[in-house]
Amino acid sequence: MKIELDYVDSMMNFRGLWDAPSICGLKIARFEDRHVVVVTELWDKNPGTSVTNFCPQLAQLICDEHSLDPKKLIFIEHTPQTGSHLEIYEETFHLVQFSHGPDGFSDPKWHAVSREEVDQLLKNPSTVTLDRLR
Amino acid sequence: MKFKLIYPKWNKLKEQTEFNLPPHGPVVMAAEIPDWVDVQFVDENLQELDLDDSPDLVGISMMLTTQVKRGLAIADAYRARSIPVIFGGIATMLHGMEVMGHADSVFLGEVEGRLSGVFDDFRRGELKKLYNFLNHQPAMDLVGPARRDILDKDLYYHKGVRMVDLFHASRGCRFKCYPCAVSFLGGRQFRPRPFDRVLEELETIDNPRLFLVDNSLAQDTEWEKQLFREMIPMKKTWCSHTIEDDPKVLDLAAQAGAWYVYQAVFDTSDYIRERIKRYHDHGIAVEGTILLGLDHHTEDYIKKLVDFLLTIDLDLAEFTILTPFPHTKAHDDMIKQGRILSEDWDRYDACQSVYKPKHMSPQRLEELYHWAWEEFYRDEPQNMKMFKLLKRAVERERKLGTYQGRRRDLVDRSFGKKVGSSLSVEDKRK
Repeated sequence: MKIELDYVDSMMNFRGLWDAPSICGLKIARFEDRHVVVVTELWDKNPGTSVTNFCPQLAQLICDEHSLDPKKLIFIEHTPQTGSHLEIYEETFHLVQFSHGPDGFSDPKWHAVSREEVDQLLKNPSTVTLDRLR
Repeated sequence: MKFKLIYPKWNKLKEQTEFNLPPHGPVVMAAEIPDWVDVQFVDENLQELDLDDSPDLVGISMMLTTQVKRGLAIADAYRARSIPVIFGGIATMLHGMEVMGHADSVFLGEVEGRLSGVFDDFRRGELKKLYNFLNHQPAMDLVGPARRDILDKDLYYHKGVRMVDLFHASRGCRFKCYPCAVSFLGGRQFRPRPFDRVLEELETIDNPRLFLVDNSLAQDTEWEKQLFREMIPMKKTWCSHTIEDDPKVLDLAAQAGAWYVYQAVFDTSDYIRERIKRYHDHGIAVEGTILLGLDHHTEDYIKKLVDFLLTIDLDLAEFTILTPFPHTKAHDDMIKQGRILSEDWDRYDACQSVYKPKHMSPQRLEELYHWAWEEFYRDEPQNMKMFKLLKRAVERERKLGTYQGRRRDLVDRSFGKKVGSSLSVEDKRK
C-alpha cells in the first residue's frame, strides 16, 4: 500500500535477508527539497536482519511504500544507546550514500553524522548543507 | 546412492595446543540422512581428501568462516566434473549468498524433518537451488541422537587419549552479544531439547568425556538445574560454555560432572575475579576466553588485562582477536566505520586483525595477541596446565568407574598421524 504522509514515526516490519522477519524504527520527514529517512536498528528487539545488512533493499522498500523520491532521499541509520557503559553500544547516526540505478539502490557508503545534524535535517528549514549529504 | 560428506580443513590457532575434536554439525546432519543413502564422511583436518572420486552427491558442511574458501574450492573441483554439490552448516548460513555461486544446492537452517525431502528431490532429479529453513526452526523433540558412527573414531585420539565427544542439549540463545552471530543462526529463543531425548542421546555415547556445545547453559535457571539433575546418573565428565552464577546451579553442575567451563573474561573487575572463584569453589575449572581488540582496548588495557589474568588462577586461557564475522554487530559497526581491511575468509581465524583497531595498528594488535599467549603461559606452559586439567577428569572418572584409560594401540599416534610415544615405562607396563 502506498502512503504519502509528510511525517512518519513508526515501527517497520520487513522481510530481511533470506526472508527473515525483521523490524526497525522508521522516521520520515518529507520536505520540498529532501525526503529524510531515519531507520533505527532495534538490535535486541530485531529478530532478523540488521538495517546495516539490508540498507540498499530497505531504502528501496521505504521509497516504494512511502512514495519517496530517490533523488531527494537522505537516508540515516540510527543505532540507539543501549544502556551499556561500553563505547561499542553508544548511540550513533550514519548518513548512507548509495548509487541509484534501474535496479534500485546499491553500493552503500556510511558517514558518521551527529545527532544535532540529524535533528536539523528533520526541521524546516534545515541549516545543514544538503549537497554534502547526497 | 553414494553421498560424500566433507568437512573442509582450516588453520588452527597457532598458539593453541592442537586439538581435533569430532565435528558436531556433520553428525547431527547425518542423523537425518535417509537409510537408503550410503554416507562417507571425510574430516579434511585429519584425512586425505580424494577429489577424483565420483560420489552421486557431495555435501560440504562448514562450521567456520575460515572453512569457506576451502569449501568453495572443493565444490568447484567436483562441479567441474559435473558432480553435484550441496552445502550446509553454520558458515554456509553466514555466507549464503557467496556459497550459492559455487553450489548446486544450499541448505540454510536446521535439518530435522527436512533432509529426507532434500534427498528425495535429488533422487527425482529435482534438487532445489535453495532450501531455506533459516526462519523455521524444527520442533526440538525431532532432534534425535547424532549419528557418530560416520566418524572414524580412532582419529580423535592424541597419544592414546580420547578427545571429548560433542553434544548439545539446547539451541538458540536469548543473548545477543557484540561479536556473536548465534542470534542470526539459531534465533533469540532458547530452545531446549526434551530431557528424555537428551538422555536418550547421552546413553548412546560411549565416551565418558563430553563437550556440551550449547551456546550458553545460563539461559533458564530451572532448565539448567533439571538438566544437571538428569545428567548426574549418566556419570559423564564435561566441559561447556558459561554456567549460571548461582550456588545451587553450580553445585548441581559439579555433581553432574562439570569439569571446566569456557568463561569470557572481558574486564579486570572484582565481579570477574569472584566469578572465577565461585566456579573453583565448586570444583569446576575455568578456561578464560579473552577477546582482544575491542574499541576500548588500548595497549595499556590489554597489558593490564593479561596481568589480571595471572592473578585470578585461571586454569587455561585462550586469546583471540576480535573478528567481525558477518551478521554480528561487530561486523555492522566495522562496515559503517569503514574499518574492515580484508574479506579474505582464510584470514578470519581469530588470530589476525582483519579490521583497523581503534587504538593501535593491526600489526600491533597481532603482536599483543602473541605476547598475551606467551605471557600467560610463561611460568607454566600450556601443555602442563592441560595435563593438570586432564588429571582432574581422570581422578573423577576413576572414582566413578568410568575411566577408559589410554588406548595402547594409539599411543604413538596423534589424530591419526604417527608420532613418538610419550608413555613412561611404568605406563607401558599397565
